[in-house]
Amino acid sequence: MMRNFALWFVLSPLILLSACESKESSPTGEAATDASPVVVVVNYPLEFIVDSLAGSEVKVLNPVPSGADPETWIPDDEVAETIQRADLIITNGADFADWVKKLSLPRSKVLRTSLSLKDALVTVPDFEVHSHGTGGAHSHAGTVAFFWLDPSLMYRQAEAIAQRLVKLNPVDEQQIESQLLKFKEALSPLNQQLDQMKADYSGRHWFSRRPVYQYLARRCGWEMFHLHWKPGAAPTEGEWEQMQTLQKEHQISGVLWERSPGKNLREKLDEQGLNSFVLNPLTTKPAKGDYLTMMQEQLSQLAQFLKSNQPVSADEKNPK
Amino acid sequence: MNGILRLTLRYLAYNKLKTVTLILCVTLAVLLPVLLQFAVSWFEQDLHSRAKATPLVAGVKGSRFDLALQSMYFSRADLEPINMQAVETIQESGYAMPIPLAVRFTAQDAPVVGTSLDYFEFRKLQLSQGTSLKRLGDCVLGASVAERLQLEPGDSLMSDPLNVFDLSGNYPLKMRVVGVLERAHSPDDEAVFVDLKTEWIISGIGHGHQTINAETSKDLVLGQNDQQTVANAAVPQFNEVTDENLASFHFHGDTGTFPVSSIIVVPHDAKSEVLLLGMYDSGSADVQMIRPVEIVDELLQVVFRVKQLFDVNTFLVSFSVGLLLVLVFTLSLRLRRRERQTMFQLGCSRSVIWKLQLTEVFLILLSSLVLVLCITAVVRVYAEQLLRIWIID
Repeated sequence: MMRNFALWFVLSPLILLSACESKESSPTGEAATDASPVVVVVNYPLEFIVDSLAGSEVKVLNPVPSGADPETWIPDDEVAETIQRADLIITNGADFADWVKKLSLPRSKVLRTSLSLKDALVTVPDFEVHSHGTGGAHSHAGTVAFFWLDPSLMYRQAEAIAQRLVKLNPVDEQQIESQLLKFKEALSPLNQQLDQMKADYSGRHWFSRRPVYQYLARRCGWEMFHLHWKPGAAPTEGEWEQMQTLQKEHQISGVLWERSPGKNLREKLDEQGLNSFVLNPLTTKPAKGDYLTMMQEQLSQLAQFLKSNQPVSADEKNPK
Repeated sequence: MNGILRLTLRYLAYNKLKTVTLILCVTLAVLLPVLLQFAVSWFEQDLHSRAKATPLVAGVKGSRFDLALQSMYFSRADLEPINMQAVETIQESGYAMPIPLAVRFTAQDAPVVGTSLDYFEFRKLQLSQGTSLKRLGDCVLGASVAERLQLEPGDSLMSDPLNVFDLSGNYPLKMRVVGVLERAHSPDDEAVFVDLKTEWIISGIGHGHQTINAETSKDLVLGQNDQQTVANAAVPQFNEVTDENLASFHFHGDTGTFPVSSIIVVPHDAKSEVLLLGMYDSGSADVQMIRPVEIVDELLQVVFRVKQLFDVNTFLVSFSVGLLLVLVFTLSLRLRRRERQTMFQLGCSRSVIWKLQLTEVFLILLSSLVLVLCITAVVRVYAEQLLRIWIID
């Protein structure tokens, strides 16, 4: 009896010790540390940047369902929880994506890429026209959010994201830096196209329905005027008159559309001497290709459009 | 049972009034210094632990005590708010993580604390029920608030109006209770946590209302032209954020100008802390940055000075009560001379008689001590609330 007790006395600590060791080296523990960090983005351009920089090292989650507008989409509670659990939430800033303003997000996990390009932000004084109570209508200034339409700004966004990804995963620092260089090189054809466009067609004035193309316009030496037309609704008589006044004042010759304005509106605008060009700002993933191929294609078409719609000079109109 | 003990107990039971009076006298004489000592040490411990867990606090220049206490205990101090730009400046400095706090409103008398999700991680607060804040209009309750109001996830909680006579001011928001925190034995148990943006909605900076157009809402339209519809002041604002009206909630103006009561600043390292303190250590800065530990030490110095006065007072009271007890026992001995003589004649030795007297004193002191311990234990349960109500609020 005494001998059994002594044996248990000696063996029980050894059993306990071995149990602790086996728990430490359990495969589940290893799996937990090996899990890829999850990075949530608010739109396709940011998804493209993170994919380009981190590849398969991180899991990129663009929660906006296909077909939904990333600017106005709002997640349900379940998706909100998934977003909150992410390791990094990359937002665009400048109030792009309504859900960023309506969800509770941990500030420590949020990277606002707009902060990295504060000096380059374009603010529009009448970004939003609003009215409440007896005070009447008033306009709110706002910052244009479509930074990625200027590749040099997109690169600065990428730099900020790269810094944060390195903090998230310091082991991959070299890889992320080399990917950032590759990303810069990949953007260079777009930069060349825009530089060429600036050299050839600088000084153009454009209309757009709302403030979207300011960064692209600044890059090309153009000026944008927005119409505040309601989406999907035909402009009223007053809106037409206002547009005509602006057109005369600033010699505006074209309208940039995010999506096709429809045959009737296009014809009506043509009659006014306003040529329409659809330039998809790529807030959502294109059906084919990616940001680079789509932007290259669109910019080539835009160059073609500008070439075929050159304003006729006075000399050409009245040859000697 | 020992004969001496039995005799003493019988004697004490027979002279109930005298026994109770003596026990109460001794209890009161001992209780005051014990409770005071206990309260001060608890107060010191609580303040220190909370202050040590709060590295830096930033807020508008003014009372440092109010700033520290409001940031740690959500006390109702009429501090001037700072703006969100101050939070952004700290974050952009790269030295620290700022956690904004907006403590201006109450819900069923519990402070409504507008903050970011980082606060829960910073204070290591765990949920006992439900989930954390998800969207505008959500709230998470401290354990005591949930218990007091009998609320659980899925219920609603209305914020209290700041001024019931100000019809144009902020009006209550019906919040969705999404979670209840585990008891933390801290002021977090007494608070209602909401997202900072929800706090701004309660204050009227942000709101949601129905879409207005002349066809559907003729009574609400003040005027209309091609460009816009101007609604009158009768447009009803939503007093609850639901899945259906969430999209309509919006804020007016620049977020950087929105108010924040104070900021808990968590520096990344010691060097960052020093650099941050240096950044705000100038006369021209609108914001002050304080170390709560230093403020608490200052506060405790005042408390200890007051306690010294109490200690002297307690000593004098105890001394006089002690003398009184000696007098009572001496007089009692004199009164009981005949009783002692009888006992002696019955055959009791002098030592037995003295043992009887001493056992009587010992039992009275023991009873008093037990009573003191019981009262202290009861006070200990409610000490947190009592001290916060008396000292911090």
